[in-house]
Amino acid sequence: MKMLLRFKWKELALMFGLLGLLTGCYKYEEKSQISNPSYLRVFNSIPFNLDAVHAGQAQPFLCFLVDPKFDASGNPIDGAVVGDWLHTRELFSLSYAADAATALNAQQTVSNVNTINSGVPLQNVTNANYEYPGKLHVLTAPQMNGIDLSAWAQVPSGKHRILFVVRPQDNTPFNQVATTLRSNTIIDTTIDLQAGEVYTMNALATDLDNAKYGINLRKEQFVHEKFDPGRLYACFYNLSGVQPFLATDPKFPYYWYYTDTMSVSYTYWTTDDNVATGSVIAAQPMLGATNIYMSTVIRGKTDNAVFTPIPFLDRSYFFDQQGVLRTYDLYNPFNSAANAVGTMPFVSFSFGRPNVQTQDGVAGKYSPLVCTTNPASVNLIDPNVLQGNTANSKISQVNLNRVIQSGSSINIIPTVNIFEIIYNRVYLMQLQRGFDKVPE
Amino acid sequence: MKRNYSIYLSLMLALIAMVILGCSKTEDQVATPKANNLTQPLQSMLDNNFSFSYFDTLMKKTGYYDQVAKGDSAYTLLIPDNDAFTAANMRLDSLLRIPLDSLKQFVGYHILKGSVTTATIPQTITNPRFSITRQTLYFSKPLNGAVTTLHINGMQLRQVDLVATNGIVQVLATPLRVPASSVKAWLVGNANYSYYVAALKKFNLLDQLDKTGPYTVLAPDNSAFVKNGITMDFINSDTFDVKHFNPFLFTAGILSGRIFNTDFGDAPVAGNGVTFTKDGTVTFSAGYYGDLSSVATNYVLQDRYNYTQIGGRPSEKVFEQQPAINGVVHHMNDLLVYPNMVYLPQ
Repeated sequence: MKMLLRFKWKELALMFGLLGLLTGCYKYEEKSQISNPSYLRVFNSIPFNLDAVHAGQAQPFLCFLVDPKFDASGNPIDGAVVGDWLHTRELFSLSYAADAATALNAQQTVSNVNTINSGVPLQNVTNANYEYPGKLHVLTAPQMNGIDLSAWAQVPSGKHRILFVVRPQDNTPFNQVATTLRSNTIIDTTIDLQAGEVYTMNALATDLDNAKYGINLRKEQFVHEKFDPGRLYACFYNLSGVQPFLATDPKFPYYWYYTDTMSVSYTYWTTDDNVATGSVIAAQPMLGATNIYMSTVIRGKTDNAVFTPIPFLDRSYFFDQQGVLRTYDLYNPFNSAANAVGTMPFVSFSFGRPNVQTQDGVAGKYSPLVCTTNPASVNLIDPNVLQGNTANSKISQVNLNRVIQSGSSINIIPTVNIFEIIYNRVYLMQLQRGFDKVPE
Repeated sequence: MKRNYSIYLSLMLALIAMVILGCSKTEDQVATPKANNLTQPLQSMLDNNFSFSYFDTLMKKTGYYDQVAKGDSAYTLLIPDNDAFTAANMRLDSLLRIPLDSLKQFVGYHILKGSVTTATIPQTITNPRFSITRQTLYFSKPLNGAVTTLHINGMQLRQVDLVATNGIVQVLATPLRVPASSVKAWLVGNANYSYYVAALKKFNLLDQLDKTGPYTVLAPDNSAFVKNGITMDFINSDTFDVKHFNPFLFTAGILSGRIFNTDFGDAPVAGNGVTFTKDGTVTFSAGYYGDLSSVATNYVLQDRYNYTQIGGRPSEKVFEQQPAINGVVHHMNDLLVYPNMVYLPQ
């Protein structure tokens, strides 16, 4: 008792106060779990086609709603799932939520005229999410088939009504936007999701010239495939709509169009260090990996995925004769003269019309897809620079070999790559496997 | 006693700290913006602003002043200030001599029911809204960036969102033109375009301009033909038709859609304003004051993007663009394509 009394009450009270400060951490309510969920990822793949001479096009800045609720005027105002500030997708995306910690109003691509936030002073930058869930904090899919799928959100399975609504380019949450500004619904459809399955949805312009829109919902096959951990894989889909006017004539500077039935072949390139470095001709096609037929891609068909294995090279190919890691292609957004060709091994893909003996010089002229870019910086570069698509030029995407530097060690990891061709863009979704072996 | 008091105080503070910091929290809610304090009614703004005196006089002559003052509804007034009338060569005394019905159409076209602010207009071009005369106005906003301005039928605003107790005032830099019943009707009814109308008839392009459209027409006036040596006799001759000239001669100046001058600034066309048609390109550029100029080119080589200019560089002042129910007519001062550049060898 006497010992207790010896205790100084004031110090004790202060100690409890400090304990309260340290342990009374800021808490959030936990989200309740979804029973029998499906897993959904949504991209806004509508190109920014609105200009003075195409006024009927939608400004592709959207709000995505599942099972929408409507206000007194009959305009959508909320939903069971809300993907607000949905910007046109970036060229490259990963299977895990790489942007989960990025601020909604972070500036992204540099100097692209027709995208939200590009070139805007920081104080005027508006929120933009490049996919759903993207930067939003939601319950995510677990790892499946050895692949980290945290870029996919959990959604209730079953039938759902889906809306894509054009929204203003400001930071007002959708449910607080004036009703007159919530009335332009460009896509209104119903989907059916099976429990446990992984889905990727693209909002698309199905007819660019007539401002028609729709979705493509793809049940992903990669969660059911058995992948060899010692191979790269690539798969192509063509989600384009009908051929637009500007793609019909070689006279037009943007002449392109991936034909409705198209063959895809790959070539693997390595750098010959005996040739001048930084020169295009330093890259040489590998013997046995030149112009290898992969698959035939049919426009609009997504249930016949072919994941073609591509060689995964020995580690020694990724380092030069001095043991230095090879480089990606370099793009300088402010000074194109500073662009440089890289020396990292890369895969290119070429497209053609199947069963055609010779090219006729007019149709069938598709730019090759060259995967040489650095994944860390590709989404900061103007997509029109990377994928200009004029005749004889190349379309660039990210290198299929994933190089991850951790401390002093360099890991080179094979990936599974899903290419989605949408009009004049080739988007890449790269899946990084979380385990060395596919679980049994 | 003093020691007990300080002990109790310390214990209380510690307890309070634990309660506050230990509780569960939810995400911060977004604050709802509060309404601004309103000042004077619309009619007072008209009476007390000397720069609005022309429009004030017209409102009173047509009876709309009393309608607005009655207070049965909020109104949005699109007020061209006095300088706007002067710049468009509109004198007040001339306007007051217009028949009352026509004057009511003109003034009523500048009045909308309700409060139309920049925030209520979607960030896109050609958003339709109705005036109290049930005619359509087209509101446009720049597509890129956080810009708080509006263009109405291709006209700039000098001031936006002036709040009144019973509505909003938007101050125009140019008076609006009342829409014509159709593009064809405007061209046919205007003697300044008699050469152009005759030419369109020869090329079977005139009648479509009466249909739903919308069509945007870059219409060269008579002086444009005359200064290029094209007479009415030549237009009416047997050698001025689609057999002798590529129709691009005139189709270059007829576009689908409803396009105002300011649209080229609000929604820029990629590639420096170049649009592509089957027979050639037309490049648009909007000047600093909203005026519009165009250049037409043809395709020279089959495989490559290459062209030569095949006409003048006609241009238009911003207040000369004429809306119609089915489109817009832009008054141009030169030919977009010269006939000799598209002559078809026989």
